[in-house]
Amino acid sequence: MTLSQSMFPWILLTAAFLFTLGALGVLIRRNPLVVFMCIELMLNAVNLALVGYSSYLNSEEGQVFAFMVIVVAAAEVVVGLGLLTRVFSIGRELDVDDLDEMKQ
Amino acid sequence: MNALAALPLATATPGWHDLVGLLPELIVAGGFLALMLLDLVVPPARRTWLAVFSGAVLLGALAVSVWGWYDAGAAGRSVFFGAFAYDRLAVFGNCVILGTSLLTVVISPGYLIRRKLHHGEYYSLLMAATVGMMLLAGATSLMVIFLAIELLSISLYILSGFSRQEERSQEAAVKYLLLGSFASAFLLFGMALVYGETGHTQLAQIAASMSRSLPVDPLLVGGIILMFVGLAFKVSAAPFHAWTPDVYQGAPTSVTTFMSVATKVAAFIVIIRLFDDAFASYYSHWSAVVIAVAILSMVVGNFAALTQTSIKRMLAYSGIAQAGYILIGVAVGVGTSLGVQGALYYLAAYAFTNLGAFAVVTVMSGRGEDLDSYDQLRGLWHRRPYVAAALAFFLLSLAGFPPTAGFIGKFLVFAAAIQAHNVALALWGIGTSAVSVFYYLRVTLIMFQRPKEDAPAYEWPRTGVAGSAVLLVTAAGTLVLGVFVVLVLTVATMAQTGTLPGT
Amino acid sequence: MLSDYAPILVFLGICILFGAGVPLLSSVLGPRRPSPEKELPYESGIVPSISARRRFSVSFYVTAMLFIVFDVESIFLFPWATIVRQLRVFGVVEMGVFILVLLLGLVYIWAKGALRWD
Repeated sequence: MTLSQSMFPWILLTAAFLFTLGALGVLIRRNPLVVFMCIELMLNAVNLALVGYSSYLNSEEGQVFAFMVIVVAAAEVVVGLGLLTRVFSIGRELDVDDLDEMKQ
Repeated sequence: MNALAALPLATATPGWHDLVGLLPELIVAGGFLALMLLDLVVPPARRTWLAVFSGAVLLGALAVSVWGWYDAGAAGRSVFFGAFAYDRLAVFGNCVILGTSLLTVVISPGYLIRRKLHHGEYYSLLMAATVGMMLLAGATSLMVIFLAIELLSISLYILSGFSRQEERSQEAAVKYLLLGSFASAFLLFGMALVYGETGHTQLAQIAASMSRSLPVDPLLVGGIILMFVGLAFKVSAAPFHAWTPDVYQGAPTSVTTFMSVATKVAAFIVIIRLFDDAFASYYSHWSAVVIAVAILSMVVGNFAALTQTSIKRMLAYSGIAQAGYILIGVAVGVGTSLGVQGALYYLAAYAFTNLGAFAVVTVMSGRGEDLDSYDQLRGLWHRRPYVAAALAFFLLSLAGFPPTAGFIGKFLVFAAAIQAHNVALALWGIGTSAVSVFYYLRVTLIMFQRPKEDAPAYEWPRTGVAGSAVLLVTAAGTLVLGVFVVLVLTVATMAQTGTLPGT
Repeated sequence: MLSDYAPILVFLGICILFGAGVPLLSSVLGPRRPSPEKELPYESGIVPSISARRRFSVSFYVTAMLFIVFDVESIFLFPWATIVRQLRVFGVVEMGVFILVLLLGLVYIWAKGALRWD
């Protein structure tokens, strides 16, 4: 058993911990930019799990998957920042609770 | 274990037969790139030609898809080393998605010009979303499923915020983006667990590995449930539906028309592939969750729709309820022959009916703002009798009256639930359908009322040739699916034989 | 397994030593004659007109966002480069298509004026 394999349960636990932390952040924080950062944290927790599994199973698929996640996360960030700057320029406070134009 | 290293890399390159399996997707992807560049050279006054071009591309892809129905054959085959299925389920999905996209393109120019939103990016983004949905319908690898979902989602995030001056539209886009990425993270974590516990990312291998592992793997069960959460968000099933009313209401109506139908079709096809085939050996561990989500969606969707006064929000809640009915088919799809058939039939019926209902709202949206509140529909029957009749017909189909497509769809999924000895599930469905009649009829009755004398009437635009054509096609589809059951049921059966072709 | 990474560790150590050592040496050995001009932050010889602690123009965000997208795509070049010889013509064609799509994206944002600075 190599070092990375004996460490594997801890890697998976860390990933689960970071994922939960990100999910809590999304639910608790009010600033959409911070919410967005928390989502990035969740995605990177997934990356950690993927790479951890990949090394544990000695299969490359997980690492390739992590690459895909990184690229998609970047695309999502770009679209997200674009939309948020747009909401800014329409003249809103940056608070997700204020996005209630359509609440009935 | 080391699957990739075992393959001799030099020989593992795809060939022409792989490309043929992906031909419709490649055509639309090429159309997307071409539209992006055409937008740079086409003068703003001639942007309707962009719509014509995208319509031609979609029509071509649709023709190739129909040819693919025969080319793929009943068994279907796997292309790109198990990443995609070239089978009748994928072709069925492609046809419905392409048809939806095509009809959306037809009604778009008129609407966009009235709303002063006629930018070239609209068509290229619509194409990108269509490619994502088509890839999703054929995906048989976790990686491809993820990439396809993100391609369609990111395109739809931008399209939701397409009305850049309108606060509502921007708000819809931000909400959709934040909640959508949140759901994607859950889907991904589920995928990571499924990959890790089975050692594979391709569904056929995952299925084989699952049926081998006798002691139940709790992490695997967790992964499956997390994946379901992520996908339930995409089909807007309760309790993951919170974004749906706001996004449907805030997005430009033509965008809502497209995404309310096509996203659901694509996501449900991948749900059927995953849950009724790849994860079938873990059926006893996920069925309870799916049934709970189905019941919750039917209850929440139908009861919340009762109190709405906005047609777009009402249709959003109705869409949540419809997702619940389709989930019945998914939930009993492993043990019964009717489950998957019923779900697929329901999807086709829903596509025509819901597309038609939203198309009416799009076509009747005037210059100032989108047609939205019930009051703006008052008296539609007296001014635009054909349009009002069409909307009434679509609403009756959504409620499940015979002889419409919605009736047959509901009948099939309820029959499937009874076939699976889950009478309670069928009763939930029937009970909530009865509730739904109230709000569908309420809208219908408002259209027949006389307009108030003092209140300024909403200025409905002229229907136009394009709008009439789309309403005619969707109404005909709803009627045909309601009358010629046997024909379409055969198609649904054929699409269902083997959702994971052998590699 | 772990000893494979020893050279990286040594390299890291040398980097840290060098990076920390040179400024330390210059501060110990160098002469020190401060004047008001020398205390100013260095801005390529131009006298600073305003404080650096202020908000930046939104144009920076556009450039940064476009940079992120194109930068991250290059991630795929690395695994590709390791097996491009085994993939032969197919590998070259596939990466050619990939780069072409990126290039079309660049053409689009260029023509749309997203790279213009005003």
